[in-house]
Amino acid sequence: MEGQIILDSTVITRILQRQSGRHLLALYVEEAGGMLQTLETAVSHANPQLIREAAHSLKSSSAYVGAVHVNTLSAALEQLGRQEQLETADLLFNQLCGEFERVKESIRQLENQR
Amino acid sequence: MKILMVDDSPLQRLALASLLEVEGYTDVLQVESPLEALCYLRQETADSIDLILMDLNMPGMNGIEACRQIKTLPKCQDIPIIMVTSSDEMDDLKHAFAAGAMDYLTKPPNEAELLARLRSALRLKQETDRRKAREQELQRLNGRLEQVLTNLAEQHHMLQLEQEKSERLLLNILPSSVAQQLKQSPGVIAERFEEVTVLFADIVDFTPLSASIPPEELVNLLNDIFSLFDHLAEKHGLEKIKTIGDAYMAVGGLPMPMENHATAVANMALDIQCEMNRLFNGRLQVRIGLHTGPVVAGVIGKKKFIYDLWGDTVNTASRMESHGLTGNVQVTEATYHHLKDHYLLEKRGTIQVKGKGNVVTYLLLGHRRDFVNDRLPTFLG
Repeated sequence: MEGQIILDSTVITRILQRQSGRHLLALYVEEAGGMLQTLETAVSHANPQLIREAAHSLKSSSAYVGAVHVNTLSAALEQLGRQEQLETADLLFNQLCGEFERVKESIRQLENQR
Repeated sequence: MKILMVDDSPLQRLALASLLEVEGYTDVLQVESPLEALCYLRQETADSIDLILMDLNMPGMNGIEACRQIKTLPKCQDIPIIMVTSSDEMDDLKHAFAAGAMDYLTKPPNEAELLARLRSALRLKQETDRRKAREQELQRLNGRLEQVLTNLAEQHHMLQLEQEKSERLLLNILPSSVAQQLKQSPGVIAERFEEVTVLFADIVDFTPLSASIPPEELVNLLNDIFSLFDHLAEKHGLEKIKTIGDAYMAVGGLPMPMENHATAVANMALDIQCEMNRLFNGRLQVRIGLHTGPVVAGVIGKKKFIYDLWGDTVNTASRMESHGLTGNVQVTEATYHHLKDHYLLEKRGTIQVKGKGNVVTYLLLGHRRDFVNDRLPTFLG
């Protein structure tokens, strides 16, 4: 995933045009962090329903800030939960965590630019 | 314009609210669960909501069930609900529409799309509100109209009762044809009748009697006698005009013309004598006078009016009575000509009448059929 777009710049530009833009990004980091924690528990307990719910929420929220890969990965994880096929859930979750870290870093950089 | 937003994600709420704010929709109430939304909507004092933006997938109660429950609240039935969904939740939308949702938006909402759907939903809500307000106003007006109509019907009924009462009173003092005429055109009613027969009947020696018995008893006695006369007048189809002290006045031949007015009046006069004899056996006697001729009949004045007669015929009939004989019926020559074929009359002679000079008069003895060879059978005389 290196070298690929982490945050959709069109979406980010639009968000930052608004007064609430920075607050929105901060909220995303907080909310997504919480969901990742929930997902971690769900994956370790192999709870498909919880995986599906948490991944769904993370997917939607990520779409709002243009976190393209977090969105894609959580959609995939949601699908696993729905199909109750959790064999690769661990792997996918780790990828998701890594991608989220990059998103966080990008957001931090954006904040520093201002 | 108040919008209620139901979403469990603070981020998504903020994202949507900031979009709405840009478009000028600043009055947005955000709640994080359907239960909280229902709680707000159930409050009596809650501001009215014009639109609900509802997340479809929420932990606990989902957006579809929330729709269903909101639509069961009477005051919320017209609030449009727009579902906010992920693109992979399209299958759930049909359930949301079945539960009462009106439209949907996919996440993350596009500004133009959000605005368009919002506006159409709000326009629909406004139109529904206006229509309901008009319906309510119409219903209110209808209710008032019904009340007015009920009141009118009541008043009309009361009026009718009053009218019937006054009608009865009027018919008691005026002949019905005259009453009709008076109602249609108030004013003087005077009509000339070419030939009628007038009767005056006077109770002889009533004045001395009135000194010897209490007034109440006297009035009762007079009432009994005149009620009997009223009954006889009705029986013979005559019009009672009035009583004057102890005298009674009636007429045949008006207001409805009558061919045999003279014989009808003669029959009444004979009946009066007969009944007085039967009831009082000579202790109270009546003097009767008849005359036939033209009169003017009508109603004059404005208060306590009666149907009365005027003209020389009335005066002459009155003279026949006052100059008559106790227990007899005295008639003029004019009346005599009407009666002579069927009645037995005896010429009394010429009497002096004030204002008229000498007048030939007759005494009415009875109906010819009651006589044998012009003599009254002994059992009747």
